[in-house]
Amino acid sequence: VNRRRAIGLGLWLVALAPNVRAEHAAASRPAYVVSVAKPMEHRLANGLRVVLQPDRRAPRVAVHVVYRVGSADDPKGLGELAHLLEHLTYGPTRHLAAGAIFEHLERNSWNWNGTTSVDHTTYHALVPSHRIALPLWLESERMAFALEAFTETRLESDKRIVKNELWQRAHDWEMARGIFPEAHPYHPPSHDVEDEIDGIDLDHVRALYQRTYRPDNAFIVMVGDFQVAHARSLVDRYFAPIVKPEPPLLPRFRPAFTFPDGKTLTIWAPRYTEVVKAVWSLPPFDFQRAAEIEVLAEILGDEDPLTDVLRRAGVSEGFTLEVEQRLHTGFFTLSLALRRDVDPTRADRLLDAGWPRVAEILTPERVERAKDVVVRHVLRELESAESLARAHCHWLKHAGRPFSPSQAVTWIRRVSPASLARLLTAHLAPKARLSVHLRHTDQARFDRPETSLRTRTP
Amino acid sequence: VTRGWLTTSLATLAVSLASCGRPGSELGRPRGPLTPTPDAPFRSAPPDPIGAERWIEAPVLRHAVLDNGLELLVVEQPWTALGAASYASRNAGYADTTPGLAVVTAAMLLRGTEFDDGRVLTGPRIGAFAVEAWIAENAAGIQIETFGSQARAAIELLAQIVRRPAFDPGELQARLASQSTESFASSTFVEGHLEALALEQLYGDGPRLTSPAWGTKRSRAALTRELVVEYHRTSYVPAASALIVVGP
Repeated sequence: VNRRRAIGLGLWLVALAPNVRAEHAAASRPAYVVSVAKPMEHRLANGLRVVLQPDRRAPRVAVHVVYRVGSADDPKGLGELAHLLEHLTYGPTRHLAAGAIFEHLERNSWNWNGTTSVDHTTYHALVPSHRIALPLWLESERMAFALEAFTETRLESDKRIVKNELWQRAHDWEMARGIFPEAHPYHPPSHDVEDEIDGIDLDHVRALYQRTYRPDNAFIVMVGDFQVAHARSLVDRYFAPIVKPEPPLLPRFRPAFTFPDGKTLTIWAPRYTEVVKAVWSLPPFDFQRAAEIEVLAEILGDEDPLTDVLRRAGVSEGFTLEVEQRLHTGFFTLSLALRRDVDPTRADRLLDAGWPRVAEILTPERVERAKDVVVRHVLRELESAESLARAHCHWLKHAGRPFSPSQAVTWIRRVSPASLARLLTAHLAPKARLSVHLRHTDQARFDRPETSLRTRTP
Repeated sequence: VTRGWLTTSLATLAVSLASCGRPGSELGRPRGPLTPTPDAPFRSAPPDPIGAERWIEAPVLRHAVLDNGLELLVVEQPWTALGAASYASRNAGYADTTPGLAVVTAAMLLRGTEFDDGRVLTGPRIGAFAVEAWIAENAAGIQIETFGSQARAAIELLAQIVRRPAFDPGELQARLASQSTESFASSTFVEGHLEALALEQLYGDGPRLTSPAWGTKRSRAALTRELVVEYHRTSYVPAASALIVVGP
């Protein structure tokens, strides 16, 4: 792409600045420009935030609508309320008969879904561009005309579906129950969650809907083959007349969270493989730190100083890494699948002994290589309308603004061995981690996972 | 950190005390009209399609056959910054050979060439490269994804991987061990485990589509470097393969 033309058209410009050490041959360095039109942002008078980004590469449009409500907003004793509400909104509305929303989506979208995470509820659909108005119509029905169609019969039917999906969350809940204090919003529902679901009545779902499924608590992202003016007129048509309900917005309560120093959480349950997880809690989202964590994860995932130690000791074949972002906190998790009959405290000791060696592998060359890979991940977000829409949603959820690849690349380029060393000291110290031992117990003796939190002995 | 923990606990306790009583009482009761938004005629029916459906304009596929029979497929995608080069062989799938042999051969291609040790290749990344081996019933291959500007280097690396693999005996033993672990991991789902057991019982170790691609314990034990070298020599031949390059 011609650089001057790209600037002239006001396009996104992602140029990989040659922030390179001299020993790298110039020819081997990536040097190119990517162009996609900039996203346009505005807010309707009713508070709905709108992000529109034309992407004419393929005749399709990705539409995502995100509500700031998730399972962490479930009142205590009413576990799965937000999830149940998500299901109910696929029911009839004033203008859609029962099952019609599924029929429209099945017929016109090859990728659609609704998901409830701990912090957000997201509905998305990918449609051919000539059906651009359809998901807007469906989503406006969901936002404005669904509540009046909630009935006892549908509530009971959706309760059964939500109960059937509980197993999908069981693993996450098992750990979260031990990690978060009971009163914290990230503490999952009790073991009697089915009773909690049974206790949900129509007033509960109606109240949660009125206080969260509303334009001033949502944003819409559209990326795809459209003219901005046209897309904007469609959004205005379907969403601008939506009136906010009378009750006030539900306040969100997410206290900052850090682990107590040097604790071990042990969870006994039937399982094939015993696992040790080293989990660090992270402070609220910050772009620069997020880039540093991505680069560090890339270095560790590429070639790390721990796997050899763990293999030689016969403890594990290696580990997997996971970075999870939540509102006002995050988690950096390293998981080891233990070999048979290995004492997890041995894995803990090896991790503690080996962790300082991570700092030793942060050479300038290695950091530069990892930065290139992380930049490649950023560029992959530009591959399709759908991946772009997802990236916008992720940034809007956690940083309050749409995805900017050039900004993302700038933050990645600022990462240095020194900044990674600071990250290790400040946020990923061995003492600060929570050690989670997922232990096996016989099915015959199993009633529910048995959990204990103890101080780790060095 | 301990003080943070205490503060968090106190804050959450305060909120839980404030909301004690009937579960959900903090939500309040629904108020006002359930649907405050005024209705409009256009809402009563699905919107009409805008114009006719447009088909995706597939990028131009350029095709050539090299003297050695290798098919060359090139797709230019000027809008993307990333490129991929893939070497695919239609003879290297796992359906028609000793169980486990095709998988171990494909994996061994990433464990070193005559020029680079396996650590560099299996890393699995070299700079911005992502190098992967893939395998299906009737084909297998190696794919490299990188920045478009590095396409030439990627293709050179791909050629080295496919033409000059080291098949180091130590690496082969390590790979067979990890294949055994992967086989076990794939059997930790009850259905997968039962399926593998049933197939082994029904078909034994024969080279059939239904045998486990990872191989069975017995078939893996019989795999040797010679078998791998010979399988690679006959399966990854240019005349049965294609080089596919996609990118800016």
